[in-house]
Amino acid sequence: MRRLNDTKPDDRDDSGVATIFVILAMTAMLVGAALAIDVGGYVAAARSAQNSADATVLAVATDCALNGAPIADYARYRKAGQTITTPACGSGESTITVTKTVDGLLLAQSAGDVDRSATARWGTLSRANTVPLVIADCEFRAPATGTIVTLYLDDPKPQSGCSSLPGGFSQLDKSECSVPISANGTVAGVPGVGGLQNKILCLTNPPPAAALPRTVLIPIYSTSACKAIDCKGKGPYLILGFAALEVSGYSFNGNVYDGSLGKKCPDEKDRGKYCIRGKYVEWVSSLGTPGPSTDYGVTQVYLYS
Amino acid sequence: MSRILKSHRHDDRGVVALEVVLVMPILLMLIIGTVVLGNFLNLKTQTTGLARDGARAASISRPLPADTMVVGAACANPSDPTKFVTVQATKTVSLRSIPFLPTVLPDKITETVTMRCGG
Repeated sequence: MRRLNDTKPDDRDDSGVATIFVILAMTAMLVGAALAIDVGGYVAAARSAQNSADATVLAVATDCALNGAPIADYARYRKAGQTITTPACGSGESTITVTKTVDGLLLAQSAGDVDRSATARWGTLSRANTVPLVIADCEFRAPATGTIVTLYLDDPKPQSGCSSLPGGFSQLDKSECSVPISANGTVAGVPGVGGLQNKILCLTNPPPAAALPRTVLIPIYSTSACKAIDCKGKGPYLILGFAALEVSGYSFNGNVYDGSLGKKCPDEKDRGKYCIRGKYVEWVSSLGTPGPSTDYGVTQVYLYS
Repeated sequence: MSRILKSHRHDDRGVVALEVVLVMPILLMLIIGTVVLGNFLNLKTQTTGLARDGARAASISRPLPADTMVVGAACANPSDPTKFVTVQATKTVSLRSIPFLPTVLPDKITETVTMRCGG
């Protein structure tokens, strides 16, 4: 105590003060640096876990929308050391939590498990950009998915007897190949077959050129609503929903893609000379907006949270 | 010589300055090291986020953000939900060495994220 209380100038000895200061400061700084690195590593692991959760839940939701059950192996959507909760299809919603154990690198203090969750929902498509054609709901008739059908676009007789329009088809009032359509909304049509050739090109080979087979969205209109207002070709058509048609071939005016169709459509005499061949497929889209509409095999998957 | 040293035996002027000179490089290495590693980890997190944004864009056939590229096959448009796409994001690390120490950090950070097409 004598030395501590002794403040006589001659006895003052401050050698080693800096050493003590440095030891204290160095300890604090080392702990700070180690903390910065460990927390940085934790944040990086959390970000990676969130990515894996997003990717996995989108894949699960896609399977739920298409098959009603998670069927695939989702390992490729996550990184080493990450585990996921069991994928399950809720009612239109699925949640996946990705967990990874993070060990402190420098502080020898385990940060525990990083948990990151993502929720995806699926539902019917309510708005999308489609080809400039509409098809009647009764003409769609929900054939078994995968059945090859031949559609006649200039059919002079309603084949099913259900439509007020030849063939149940109509062209939409657009010159472009991509038309914004809303389910539960209406859209105007153009009667006649003059522009059908261009519409078929939209279905089969739009710019930039895409090889067949190619899946296109086709809006489906309500036959009964159309009949009620006698919408002969001009509409307005009440759009119920969307179907996905995988177009595999076409034939018109001597232009042919699918060899089995031949230079002329199989039933040219009775049903017309503009025909496309394809099959309805179940299809998941992220390009439109989800909402209430009728499901014709096309659903929308989106990240909810 | 010994006479000169003897005459300064009880003279401790400059000791603090000497200690600071000895300790300062280590302190600076520690501070710079913290900054360099912090910057690296921040960049790594950013790259992971960028790879995720790229994968999401690629899965719905939208244009990719800068510094990202598709590894392997891209998604068809309209998408085939049975396929998947992997996107790689790369960022250059500008701060990667600590003075007086060998460089251990890589010059580029590469992260990949895989997503389902069309999902």
